[in-house]
Amino acid sequence: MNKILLTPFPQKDVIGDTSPILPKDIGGYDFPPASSFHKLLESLKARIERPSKPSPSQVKKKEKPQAPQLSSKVPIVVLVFDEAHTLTNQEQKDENWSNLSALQRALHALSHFPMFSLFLSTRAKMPQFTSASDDASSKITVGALKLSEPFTDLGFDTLAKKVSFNSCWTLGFVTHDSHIVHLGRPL
Amino acid sequence: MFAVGKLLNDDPNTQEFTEHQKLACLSQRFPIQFNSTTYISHASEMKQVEEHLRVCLKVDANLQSMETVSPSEPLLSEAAYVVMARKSFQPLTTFKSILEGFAIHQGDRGEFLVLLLLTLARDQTVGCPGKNGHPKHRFFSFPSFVYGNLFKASTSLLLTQSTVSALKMLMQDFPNATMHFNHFIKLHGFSSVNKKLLLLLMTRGAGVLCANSQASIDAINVFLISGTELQTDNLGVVLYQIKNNADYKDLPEPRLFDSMDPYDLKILEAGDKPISLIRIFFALASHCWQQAI
Repeated sequence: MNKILLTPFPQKDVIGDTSPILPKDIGGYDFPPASSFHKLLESLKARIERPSKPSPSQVKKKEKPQAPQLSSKVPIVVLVFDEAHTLTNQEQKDENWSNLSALQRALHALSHFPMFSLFLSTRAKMPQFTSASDDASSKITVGALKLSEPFTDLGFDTLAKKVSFNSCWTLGFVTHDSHIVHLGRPL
Repeated sequence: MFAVGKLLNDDPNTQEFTEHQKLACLSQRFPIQFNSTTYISHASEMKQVEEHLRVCLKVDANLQSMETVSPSEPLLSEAAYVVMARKSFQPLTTFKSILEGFAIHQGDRGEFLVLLLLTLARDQTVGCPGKNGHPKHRFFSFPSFVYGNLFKASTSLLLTQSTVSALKMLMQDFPNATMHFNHFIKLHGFSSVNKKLLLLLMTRGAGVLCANSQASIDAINVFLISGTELQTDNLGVVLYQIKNNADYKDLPEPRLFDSMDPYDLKILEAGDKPISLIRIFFALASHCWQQAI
């Protein structure tokens, strides 16, 4: 089944207030998840930046192994919540609090870390992910923060490269994994 | 292997397949259409959508019928190739059991059998998949595909002397020709086939099954005359005509080949230069089993 890709992670309204929204003691390392995440990040960075064992060919050529470069634009940690509608309290309509709202607050407090969250669902109706009026956070209700819209009906060839016969397109290129994985629906 | 697991909805290394998994694999190679009229056949079609990546295009208002397809997704076609290469798959037996076991459109003139033969010839030409599921190269030599796999050199006793000469001439004329396809898609219009579209379809590894009632041709493949550069002036076309009627015998009839004219068929426009063209006629109901070119 195709899934709806949701990003319920609240974002700052570009027109609204740009000052920090959460107290520093929550966004800082006094917040236990932030402290834990900081340790995880340091550990991951150390593993990534530590030179790996040189390959046999590098030994033969007396080359030094190259450490991969970290980009500030690429998240180091990706969290994926499958069937994320189970985090909501859709059957209890009077309840303001849900696992999702708590998770949103925690993730927002970690927003300065190189982390990205994906919420996937096969449900067609997801008001608690997309409707500001249904959200427990007053900052979202008044518009200081806004919810990202879900990605639905992604279609086919969304990520495909545009073919140009003027450039050097070859069978080697169009039969490579890097080309064919971009055709069809994103798996 | 990830795509294999998604297509089978099972362990990607499994060696035993359900009929639904087999149908899912063949559906990724050529455009099998459901012809569901009963509750049981609807259930099979829905299962393909729910578990095997078939796509639902439309459901009628009372939820009694649906229109589904396996769209052109080359990664899933490669996954199906990996599965079909396993000994337990037995493509021909599987094809027969699927035609008999599911409410699917069997074709009017044996076109699905021919598409299966072309697909198997392609798979043999690229060779078996390696441990990572890749063949050595996904594109392949066009002469080897035609003479070696589609028309087997080992069955040369069944080929007339003139046919063997013609095939050898093909190898001399196109020694560096290359080809790439791993699945076929069905077109639904007569006017959409032209050389640019065919080259675009090649970039996704798609051959063509022509629209119903298309005059003179039933399927199309393309190849590159020399090397691997995708340019319209490096394009060659293979046109197939398929008949499952005993009136068509094993002896070639020139008028049938003449009717497969790329200008009449609008593959080329009036001012275009001629292109390299191979025309193949499948007379499937011929009583005499012989290959003639």
